[in-house]
Amino acid sequence: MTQVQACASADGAGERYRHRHGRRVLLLSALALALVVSLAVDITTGPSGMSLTRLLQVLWDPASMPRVEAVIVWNVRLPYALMAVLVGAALALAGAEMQTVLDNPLASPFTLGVSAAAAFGAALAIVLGMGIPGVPAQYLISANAFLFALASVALLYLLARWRGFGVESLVLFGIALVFAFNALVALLQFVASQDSLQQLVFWTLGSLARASWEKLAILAAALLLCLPFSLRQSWALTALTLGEERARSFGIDVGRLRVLSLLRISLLSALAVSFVGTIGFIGLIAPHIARLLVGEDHRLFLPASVLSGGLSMASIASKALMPGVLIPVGIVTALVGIPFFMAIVMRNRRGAL
Amino acid sequence: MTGLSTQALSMHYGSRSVLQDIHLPALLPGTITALIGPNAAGKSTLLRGIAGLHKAHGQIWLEGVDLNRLPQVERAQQVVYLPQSLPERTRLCAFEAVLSAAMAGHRGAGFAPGRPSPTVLKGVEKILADLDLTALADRPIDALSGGQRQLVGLAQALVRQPRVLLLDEPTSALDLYHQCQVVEAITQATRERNLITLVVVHDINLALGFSDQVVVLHNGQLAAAGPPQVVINQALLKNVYGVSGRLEQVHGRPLVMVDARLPFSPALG
Repeated sequence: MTQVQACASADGAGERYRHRHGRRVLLLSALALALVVSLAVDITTGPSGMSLTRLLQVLWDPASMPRVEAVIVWNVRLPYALMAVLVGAALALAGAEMQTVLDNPLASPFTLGVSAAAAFGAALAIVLGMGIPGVPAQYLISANAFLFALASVALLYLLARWRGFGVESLVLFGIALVFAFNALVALLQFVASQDSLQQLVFWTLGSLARASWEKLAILAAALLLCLPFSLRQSWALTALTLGEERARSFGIDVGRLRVLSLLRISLLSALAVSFVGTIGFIGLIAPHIARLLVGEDHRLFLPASVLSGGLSMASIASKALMPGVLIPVGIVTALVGIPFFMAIVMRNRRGAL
Repeated sequence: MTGLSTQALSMHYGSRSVLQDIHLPALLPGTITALIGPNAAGKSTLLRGIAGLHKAHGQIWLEGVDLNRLPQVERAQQVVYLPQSLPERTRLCAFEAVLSAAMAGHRGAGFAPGRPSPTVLKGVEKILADLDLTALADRPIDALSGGQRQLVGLAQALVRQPRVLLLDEPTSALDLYHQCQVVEAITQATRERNLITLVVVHDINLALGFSDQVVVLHNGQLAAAGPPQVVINQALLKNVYGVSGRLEQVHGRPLVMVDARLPFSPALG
């Protein structure tokens, strides 16, 4: 005991901080490694089994392998698995920034109505055939979903810029958006034909089966575009967790920070939701996992959110592949997510008392 | 012009005027000024105006420079304002909180978030040691007591090496022990770093005890300014606070004794 104390006093606070920071960087690397492993597991498991060596062969030299296996890996499993990771990563980054700039641990694209708005956009295309003129038919649903998701974040963003509109009112407004769009979707379901109703229900469940290489490229580009800008703002975002007044007094332009962050959030969440449908809770939970692992220094917190988002989606996606059945991933994330959500709520309640 | 002073400073919230034509006398480096007055007199607003967090019309002079003409980033290097509210929801530990204050506004090189230099880390370490916080450096902020959080806030302000320190009720909601600790820390920092310190204080006796100068705000106007024992008197207690009381010497130290609340008069607001 005395030895421990002596040790603690011998190391200065700065030295202790450096050690802890180093440990957290290691943890971040472990998370990245876990993501790669889970991606490999995700690709090798499926209705027809495949060993890791065979997978590597298919990836390395597709020409030398049987055509069937190459098609399974390149056209089905790889896009599916990568889509899971990218969607998880994009929603997690959006959620992490949202929780910081709105100073609310329950903020996420799902809880603030972005997903609901996207579902309404998709419903318009599916049920009424309404969409943006000139968009190719196979992209009509995604384009509509994107437009509505973007519009919902734009609305949140305009309110955030409005002077005197507090963060709490903003979150309440987001929740109002969820209910409003859910009601509108229900209305469309009521008037929909049998066929389109089925299609709409399937869309809102969220599915990775809609993955394609083009969508992957777009999402990857959006992520690569947003992440460096987020990281560049790390210190300002970290200071913002100590309160808006304080951050402003340290010379941070909080209004500008919030607006730029909401722009990134809108791009990431709108794209993710429009490609795979409603995927709940990942954007909410991943940042909390990251926070538990590496704390709230945003230099580590943001990448950790991205990685844990990708990791959770990848592991959920592999579990959704039950023998013979493909359960829509949106259902699985919600089922896994709700207990987590409740745990967060209870934790915050205790903190408030 | 030395020190910090204001000229014809006025502030509004929307159409409601909060401060009118404030001419603050020069507050000198190395001194503590207590800003007192009843609730809603505009005390916090004045601090926010000087810090540039809310639009203030008029001039705010710091060593001959009008702060209102400085960009906010430069202004924040000279003046730091510590709000009354304490951080509630953060998983940062005390060290990280102070470090983030030191690094705030740091854009990093290219797109990489900047790494704190060894000098910055040493600076954080020193401030924490000065305020007796070394043992708490690794604790999350939300696990600290109110007094400890207040001290961490002070460390955040000091690590930015400002010339002007604006504190909004740093001792409210603290027990006596922590009040003393915070007051001592403020006094020491002001003297050692030659800061111009302006503190909103609710407790008049506290203001008497530790300030070099007192500024009284009442209904958005400057009611009085000067040495504490001159400014705080029977007339001030009556006209500004609406109580009858007197200033007594107890063992050679001034102390405000309140006798009774006076009948409400509309002039008091």
